[in-house]
Amino acid sequence: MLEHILRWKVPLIIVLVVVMVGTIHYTSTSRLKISLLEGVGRDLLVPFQWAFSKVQRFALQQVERVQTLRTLKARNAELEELVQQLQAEVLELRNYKRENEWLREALDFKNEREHDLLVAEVIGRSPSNWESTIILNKGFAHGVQQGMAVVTSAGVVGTVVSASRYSSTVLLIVDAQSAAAGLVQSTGDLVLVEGGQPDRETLIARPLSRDTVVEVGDVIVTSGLSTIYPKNIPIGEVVAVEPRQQNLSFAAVVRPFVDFNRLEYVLIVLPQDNGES
Amino acid sequence: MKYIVYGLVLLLALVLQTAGVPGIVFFGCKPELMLLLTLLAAMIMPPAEAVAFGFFAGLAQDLVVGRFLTLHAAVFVLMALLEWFITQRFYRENFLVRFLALMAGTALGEVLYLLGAASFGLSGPWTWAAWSAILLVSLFNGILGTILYKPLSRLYKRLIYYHELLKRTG
Repeated sequence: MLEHILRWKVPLIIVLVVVMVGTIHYTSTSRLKISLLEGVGRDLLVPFQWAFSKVQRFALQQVERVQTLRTLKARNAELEELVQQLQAEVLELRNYKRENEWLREALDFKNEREHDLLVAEVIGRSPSNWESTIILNKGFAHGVQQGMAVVTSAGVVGTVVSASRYSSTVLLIVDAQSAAAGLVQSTGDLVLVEGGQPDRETLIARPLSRDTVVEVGDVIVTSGLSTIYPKNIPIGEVVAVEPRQQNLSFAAVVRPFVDFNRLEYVLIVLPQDNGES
Repeated sequence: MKYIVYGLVLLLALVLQTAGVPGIVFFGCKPELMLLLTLLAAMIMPPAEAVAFGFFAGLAQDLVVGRFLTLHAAVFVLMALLEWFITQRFYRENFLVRFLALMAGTALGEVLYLLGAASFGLSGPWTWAAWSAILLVSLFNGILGTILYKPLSRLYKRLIYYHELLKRTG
């Protein structure tokens, strides 16, 4: 059997290379749906990712707890046991408080908006250093589709680039492939907000008109001109303005309001007619 | 049996890479675990097995989080072949050789992926920051791989032993 395969080694490699190049080319174009194999692969991994992210969060909480306890031990040796009990309770309550605050903010935010919002938990992140994506535990079974905006009460997070049945991948606004139509809140001037900064923590806002004025401290919000993001969602604050092309133009460095390293829950913006259709 | 263990190792690495590793970001970079496993497989396993391992590692990464299906698979297959070729010509038991081979393999793998992605339409980030990120990831993988080589090598030997045992005893 093996000899038979080895005899056809060269044609087999050629066929394999052609198939691979074809697949890469096919998947490099914008696709409305991911393949069945990708969907199955992603959905199969969801429970493991979910479980692992829970374990990871628990472990980090324990590390935090141990660190806190060590400090308290040094300061209050005689009250060690009492402090341990209280500290455990405080940590538990703090978690509840944080969750409560987040949900309260999300509820306020949801009430303020015209769109339906779907709460999703972040269960994974892109393993690559070249892509800024996150994986959510909601997929097309929950109504999530490619191109939907993802936000938090703090501001814009990104857009859904692919969805399997039970998970979806979100391209963060700081990714090099991301761009959003924004406007300067104080003046109403339109800007194009792009990701791809080397630090992957800031954005670049480019003016769409020569008369646009942007100053440090200005807040950039979504303009509502694109079909993806609803109007007036905060994007970030201008932290620097850099002149370009012999001072004829400029690029403003924008620090997003969302802390992408600490994302736990996000809101997916569903289309307005979602409930009716 | 060994194929089940390979599958479990890949699954664990993939889950760690997507759900766990973001927690241990080092100067903004994270280790490329799937690529690292492929490079280690090329040092430990016979070439055909390492190439197949690399292919499935890359394909799994492509299916779960990839932007271009089979691009990682192609890069990992190439890297498995190259790493095997290099480590056959040098004394891979020396930890410095191992470390440098893993570093070089990771760096080349990253560059090949970026080149592949760029040729299929992804704007390549050929900036100083990108090069320093490649250097950091390579360093990260070099250190991690040097630590993991011996335990994985022992695991592979044990796997082969049990695999043969099962085959002979039915």
